[in-house]
Amino acid sequence: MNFRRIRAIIHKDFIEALRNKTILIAIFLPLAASLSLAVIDSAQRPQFFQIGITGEASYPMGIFLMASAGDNLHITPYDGVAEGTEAVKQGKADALILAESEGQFRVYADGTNPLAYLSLKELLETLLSAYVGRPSEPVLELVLVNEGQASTSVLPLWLTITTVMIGVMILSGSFSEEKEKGTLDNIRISPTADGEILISKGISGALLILLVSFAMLLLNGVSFHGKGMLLGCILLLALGAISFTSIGLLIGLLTKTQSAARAISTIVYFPLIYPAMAADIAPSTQHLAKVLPSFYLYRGLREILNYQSPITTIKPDIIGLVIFAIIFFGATLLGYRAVLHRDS
Amino acid sequence: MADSPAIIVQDLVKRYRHAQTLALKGLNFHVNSGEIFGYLGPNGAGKTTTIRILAGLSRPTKGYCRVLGQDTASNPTLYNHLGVVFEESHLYERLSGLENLRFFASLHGVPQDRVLSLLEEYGLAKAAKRPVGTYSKGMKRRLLICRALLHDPDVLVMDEPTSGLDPTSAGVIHRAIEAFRRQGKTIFLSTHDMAEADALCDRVAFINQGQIAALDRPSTLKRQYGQPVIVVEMQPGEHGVEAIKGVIPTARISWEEDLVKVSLPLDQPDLGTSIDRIREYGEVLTIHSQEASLGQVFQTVTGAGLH
Repeated sequence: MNFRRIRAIIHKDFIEALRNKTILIAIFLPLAASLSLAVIDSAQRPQFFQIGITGEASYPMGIFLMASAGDNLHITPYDGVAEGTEAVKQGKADALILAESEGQFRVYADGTNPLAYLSLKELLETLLSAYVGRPSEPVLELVLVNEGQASTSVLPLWLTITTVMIGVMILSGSFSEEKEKGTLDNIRISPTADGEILISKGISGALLILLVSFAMLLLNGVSFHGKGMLLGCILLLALGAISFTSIGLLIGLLTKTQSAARAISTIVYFPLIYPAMAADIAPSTQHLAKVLPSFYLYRGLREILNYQSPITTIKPDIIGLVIFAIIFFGATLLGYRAVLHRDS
Repeated sequence: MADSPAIIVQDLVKRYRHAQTLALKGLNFHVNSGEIFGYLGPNGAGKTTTIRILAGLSRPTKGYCRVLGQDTASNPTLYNHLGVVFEESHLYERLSGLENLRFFASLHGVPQDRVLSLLEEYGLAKAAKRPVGTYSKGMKRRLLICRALLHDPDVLVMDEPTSGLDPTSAGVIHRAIEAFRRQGKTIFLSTHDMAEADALCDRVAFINQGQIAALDRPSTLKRQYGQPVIVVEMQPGEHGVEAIKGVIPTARISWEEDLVKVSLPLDQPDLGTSIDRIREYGEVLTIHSQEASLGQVFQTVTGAGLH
């Protein structure tokens, strides 16, 4: 492995990327969108909520809620407000209902996703009105937990979209362009080994993803609380980048022209990203999403960025991404040797 | 000239996937160290396929290619001694000439000052910082030669290096080839241009339909297959062309605007009579003798025509 050659290819790829309008558009589009849509926060509209309950009058209320909206709510009792709100902070519960006395409720809701919050508020107001048997609203005091982070709540989504877009769509196109224009042949007639070419391309894509992602995080005002959060973010994005750049390179390898590579990567892009976004809708969509690296990337980023979970929490996501990275990079290496040495 | 061949091609066969016929049908030849070896043939004859195998970019179906004793199939160290000039640009068009060469110099571990001296030598210093996309075809070809010479290879493989170039640009490349030969290096030159091959090459091979049709020194091949001719250049009178066709085989007649050229074999027994008959059908402008050309040789050995 020769680092001088790897560095040279990465440097060249970066200069090329900065002078390629298509790549620049693909980079700046999600970056700009993350800023403009942060206010709207339209990530998803969950129909299923994890609700914590506590307080003297919480038991009969819990039974009522389960009976009334069992398909939409999962009720978990907590010993006290501190324990319950901690669960909300960590993303384990969407809200905690403190039933202090009959008809008196305080709801500690997760404020990271305003649309989900509005949907939950509407549901709880309806249910609790029915519970106290009054047509008018019960006394419902809403307290936002994780307040102030709403603007960053869609960032895991945008980061996942950016990672998949740069990794799959940009890398496939640029690699196919190298093949189509013969510049790859000019690299291959140098002492550069196959593995060095692929690793360089993978690192170029991963660095681009990390740069754009961290620019996005900074522009959205995310501050990292502790090394764990930063490390977790880097790990998730780097591992996701390896998986998706490998998929991009594989598409670039298997297609003969740049336009074919871009067309196929566009087709692949949506199945890669959509199940991860829709994983929370139902158990079936979650099962489907688990076979894709985007699910682990999105889930891990959400834990780290939205709930400031410790790095140990995202261990399963990191393991998942490591497995995908190994599988996809291995497949790309095998594909490279088979396709380029076979020639058609 | 050293004894050991710089390039050995042995029983080389190539079949592309899904292809009905073989692209190369068992080629055998060698290129001596320090010689310029011309590789001639029409489009689709197998020239580029041979070059891709020589460059290690394609695997042979059977047989092998050795450059300086090393098998070209998957051998990265070979590229420290081998330079390749492709017919197509194969350059990064968004990067400048200087950036292109610096990149390839890094891959070969060549000092950066070598880049500047090559750009200067090939007249590209002024345009060095311009994107390659703005270069003319001749400039791109010169840049490709600089790229191939960066690591000072012992063997240079060139695929149609002057194709589509104006005479001035082609002349620059011819001088580069001659300079390379003076350094005792080996050149494998694939070309369509018979005059170029005649002027530059020590030996030439004619490839047609994946097979070597003839291989020797140009002078030997011209003696063996060609025929010296008398060329009569004339302005034909009314119906003169049809009349000439009546007495001379059409293959020996060519047209250039309103002039007709008739080539008659020098050893033709009734040469004088033929010339006299032609003179009846128009005004003869010039009569001169002409040696056999490689184009004629190719026509003879393959039955196809080249310029």
